[in-house]
Amino acid sequence: MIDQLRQRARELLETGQAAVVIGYGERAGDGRPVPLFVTQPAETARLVFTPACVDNLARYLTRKDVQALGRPALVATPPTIKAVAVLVQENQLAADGLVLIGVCCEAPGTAGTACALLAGATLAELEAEVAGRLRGQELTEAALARVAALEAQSADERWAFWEAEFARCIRCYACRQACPLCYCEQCIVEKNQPQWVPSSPHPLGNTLFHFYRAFHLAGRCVLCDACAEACPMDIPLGLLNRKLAREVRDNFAYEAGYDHTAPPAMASYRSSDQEAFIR
Amino acid sequence: MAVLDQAAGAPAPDAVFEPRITAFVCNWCTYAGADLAGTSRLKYPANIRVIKLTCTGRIAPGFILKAFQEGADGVLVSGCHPGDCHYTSGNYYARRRWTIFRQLLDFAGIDSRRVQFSWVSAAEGRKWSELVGRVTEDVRALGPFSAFHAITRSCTGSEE
Repeated sequence: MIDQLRQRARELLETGQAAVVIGYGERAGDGRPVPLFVTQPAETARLVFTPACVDNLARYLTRKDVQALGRPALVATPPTIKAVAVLVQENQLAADGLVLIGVCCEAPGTAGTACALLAGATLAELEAEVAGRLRGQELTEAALARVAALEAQSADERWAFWEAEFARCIRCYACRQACPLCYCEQCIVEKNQPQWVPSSPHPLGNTLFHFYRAFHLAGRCVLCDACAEACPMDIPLGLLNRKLAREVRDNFAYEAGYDHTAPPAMASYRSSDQEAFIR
Repeated sequence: MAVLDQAAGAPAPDAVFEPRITAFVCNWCTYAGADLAGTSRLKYPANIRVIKLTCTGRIAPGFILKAFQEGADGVLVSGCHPGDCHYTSGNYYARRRWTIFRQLLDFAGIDSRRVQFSWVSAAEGRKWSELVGRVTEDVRALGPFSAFHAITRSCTGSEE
């Protein structure tokens, strides 16, 4: 599989279809997978792909320094493909402005499971491929068990739960940096005229930051868990993301990342949207 | 916070709790409706502070959070009925936003009655006055939003 991947990357660079291949390489020393940017055909031998390669590389596509390298080819896992679909949907990328090398592991994160290239080359084909594998598997009862458990508690218990979780936040913004969809040039947390979010790691600023982070990803989050993986304080960001993803699915019959031609859930409406809560 | 305290007056120890409620309303329907309530001499609780915006589509969720941060115990958001938006569809976008945002607040442990939503047209002065009454009673029953105000104080260091 890895030979096919390297061969494909080499072809893309040699034929000029891509100026840079963004994939995974191995960190010297411990062999941990790290992002690798390959611009020379001979360097493609350094590309690797294992079940440990779970970073969402789509986050590099919107960076100006990466864009300056030229047309990219992206080694894209299913969540990465979903993130690309949302970026295209939100006019941050052109669907034909990059090449996708779809890859997939049977059980991402579990060593020893089989990895393969995904069939399909265009975004639409890969979306269909990813939908076949993931759609309906992400917001299952099991995946939402912790959300449901928290919902079953009283409001005061939920507040206490999040107060304790948010209290640990050191405001490093690793979650934001790891997220392929947090691409705003100026994030609301850095705006200070007026200031919406106090910048110190105090309870108010922390609470507001996490409210904004979750809400700004509502209807957009592709559930890749890059934010939760990046969090050094183990704040359960996936819990907030899944809660809102479920609400978007239940209320608007929409799941992010499966159709780059669909209108985004929070930037569209139906006149028939339910409004039982409005007096 | 100090200014708001002044506005609410220093309550006597056993006085009825008077909640502070911020209302974000649209210029074209609810503000006109509230105006009608006034010109019609309809009475409603003075606990509400109305902030007028062009459209409910302009009411970012951050405004609601900011109101709590500044000492509000409850927030009311109101605009044109569906189909009546001055800008055709601002209220439809707002409705989607509120649907998700109130779920986020609820999940975080904020009682849904602290943030209420309604449609009030320019002709519904009576609905406005009754609505303000009901929202005020809801928030009064919930009591001060101590949980949120406590984290606000922890940041600003100000004493209430």
